[in-house]
Amino acid sequence: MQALEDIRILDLGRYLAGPLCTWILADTGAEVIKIESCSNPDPLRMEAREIYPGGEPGERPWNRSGMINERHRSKYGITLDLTASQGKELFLGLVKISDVVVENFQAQVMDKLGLSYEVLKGVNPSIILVSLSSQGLTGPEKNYRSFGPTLEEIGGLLSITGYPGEPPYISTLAFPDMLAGMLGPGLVVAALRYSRKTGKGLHIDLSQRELTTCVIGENIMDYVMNQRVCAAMGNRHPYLSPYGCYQCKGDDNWVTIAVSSDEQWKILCELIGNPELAEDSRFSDVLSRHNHQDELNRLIEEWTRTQDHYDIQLKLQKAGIAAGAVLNTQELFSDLHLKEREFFDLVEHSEAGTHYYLGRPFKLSETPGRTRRPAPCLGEHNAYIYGKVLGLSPEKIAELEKQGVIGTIPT
Amino acid sequence: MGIDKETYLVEAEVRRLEPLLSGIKVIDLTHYIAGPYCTKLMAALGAEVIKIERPGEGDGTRKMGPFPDDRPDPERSGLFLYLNTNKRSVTLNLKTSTGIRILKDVVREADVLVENFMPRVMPSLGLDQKTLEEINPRLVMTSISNFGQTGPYSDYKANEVTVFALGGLMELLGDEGREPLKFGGSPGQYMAGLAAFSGSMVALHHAEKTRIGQHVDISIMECLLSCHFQDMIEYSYTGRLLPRLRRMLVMPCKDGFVAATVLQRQWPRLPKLVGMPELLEDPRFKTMESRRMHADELEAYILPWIIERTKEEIYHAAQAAGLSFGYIATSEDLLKAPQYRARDFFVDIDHPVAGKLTYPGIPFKIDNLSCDQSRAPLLGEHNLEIFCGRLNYSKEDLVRLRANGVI
Repeated sequence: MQALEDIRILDLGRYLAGPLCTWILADTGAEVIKIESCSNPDPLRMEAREIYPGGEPGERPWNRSGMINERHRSKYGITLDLTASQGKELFLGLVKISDVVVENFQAQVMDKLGLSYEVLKGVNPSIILVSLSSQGLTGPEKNYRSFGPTLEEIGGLLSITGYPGEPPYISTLAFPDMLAGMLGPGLVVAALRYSRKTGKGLHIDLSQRELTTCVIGENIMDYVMNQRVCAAMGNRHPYLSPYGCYQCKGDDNWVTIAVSSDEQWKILCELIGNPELAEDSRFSDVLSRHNHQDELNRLIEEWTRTQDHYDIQLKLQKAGIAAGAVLNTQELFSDLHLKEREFFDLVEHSEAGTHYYLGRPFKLSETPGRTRRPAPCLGEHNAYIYGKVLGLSPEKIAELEKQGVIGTIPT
Repeated sequence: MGIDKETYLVEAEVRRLEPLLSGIKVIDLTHYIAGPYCTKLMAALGAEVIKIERPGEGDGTRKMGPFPDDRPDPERSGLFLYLNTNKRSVTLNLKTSTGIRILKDVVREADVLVENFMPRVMPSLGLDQKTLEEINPRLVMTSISNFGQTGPYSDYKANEVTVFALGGLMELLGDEGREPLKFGGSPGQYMAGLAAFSGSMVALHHAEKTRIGQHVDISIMECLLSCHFQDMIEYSYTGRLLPRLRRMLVMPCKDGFVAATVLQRQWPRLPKLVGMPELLEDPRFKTMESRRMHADELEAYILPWIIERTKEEIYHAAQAAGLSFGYIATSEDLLKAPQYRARDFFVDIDHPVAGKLTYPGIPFKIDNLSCDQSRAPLLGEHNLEIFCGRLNYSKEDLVRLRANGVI
């Protein structure tokens, strides 16, 4: 039995937050129906950033986009046009027989589509709507345009990220989206507990920006308590040293080392072949090491530059010191720990071929998550969902195809 | 008009008294950040969370700052107070047989147990999942560790920088040819807390249906990896290794820094905003590619407008003009942010030792259900309530247990 097999979820998510949330739910057994339209398919089908199998777009590139096929595994896929009245009607028909709708549109989109929570509730009083927007659905900035980097900035994460003494560092990682996607499944299931008990649905309004601020809690508290604004400290630690990232042999290989006791410090000095360092007054205790961390880091790097990063990790970990190589993608795919944990999934996709995909964020012992089916091609499950699940006749389905309300090819 | 008073009152009551996780009992053996953030969320949604702390010093986070005036005090740690709202605290020494017996007693009635020790610890205490399952077959046991319960790294030591490196996020951040960067603070730990929350809820859903519990195994490394939705698939599909993600343009302004993601369709609005319409005709800036190539020159044109305005001025003016600008917000900025004020994101909570403080609240709203925020507990504050009130120990027993170092 699968953990969430009694749950049906309609997935309007795009890009990262919504899709990550619903992927986790689908992986653990929920029936997730990804909804997109032929006139406006999921943007990552069309802007695949050249991520095709072997770099080849093929005849139907929208079904071979790696970014789609990664995050929409285990889901069913249908097309319908939410902006058309027939499409809306079909959607509401699905809402009637579903438990949850997940979306991460900009704040006013659902309302503009005529699909506000009130409308959904009118059709199904126990429907749960999960909205994972940038700044929430209320407030003066709710309609502000934000992408991942913007949220990292205005959520506070980047004020403490960067090389010491330099301007803040901003990347295109979209960490806030990842946070929201990771929290979403828990909220969905908790909300379902309530709606199944009471028959009443819920609208969950999550702000990715607020969630980002939640993860810098100690910095907020430092300001509240001491009016202190924390500066970026690169890879350093507020009180531990040595702590940081050190260059190793080769081109762009690095290892992280974190020493958290005097004993570990002594052992490290032995391992780097410099036991006298342990007696050096500059480094003899935790305070002095921290005060001299620049010199200390330089000395350690003299050693690490002559070593392989994986070797350092193994050697230091064997001696009880926290060391971790900065692994690149290739190294991660062949990492022995991840292999033994069976982290990666090998999945065959009808149009993209067979490849390795990411594993899941948690392992369940009784009802393990797994890739239940490859990511859907555009409109792949129209016949199944409209026919079997919604109960439309084959003639009706053919008519909808003819009218362009549903289909399998972007227009 | 159509809703009679009685129905309305009953409805109001149901919405107030039935938060999402009411009736759920959580035994919380966690410490530091990941575990406590997971159980903080559970408590916020109405679960009863009993935090079990070591007698004497309690959760190690009590020793970590920030402290008011930098004066350490186990009841004034800003991090502890923030992470442990809505929980009860009892002290229990799990290295004593009485301590183990008491734990097993409370596990009997619990729905979820969350712990984040090194993987060998719970089995070494005789509290492995199989043993707990025999006591309570429907128990969800959530274990958070750096690398998971199994595998060659499971005994590895780690700090935030270690899991960031092995979780594959570090290779993406920072400048090319230079030391890669981790995010400031400990966001990896919080991410694991979110994964633990979601995993626990999924298992709980199953357990409430079937009366069968299970083990939820969270590896911080894996939960960081599992959200890598571009670089991993790029390698898997094409063999290409993504270089460090490109650093985006950050510009100094009057009181800090701003940055923007300017999409092609938004670009025409920028020259207008900064009062330099002639930039629109400049061939150096026509496409995203060309703007990137001539980034320094573009910045030189825009900077005069930026430098004489504040973060908030630029942010609001640019957004009003349809540009996705942001500013580097500090803690000071966030506490004043109009959007946060409008949504009542920060909450004021009083505490008998630490006093009234402002905390980041819960990052979501659920209809008009209240997500009550009550203060973090004092160490062992609920010993009497739990040990005497629920487990039938007498007050004299507690004195003896205290003398024996059990509580």
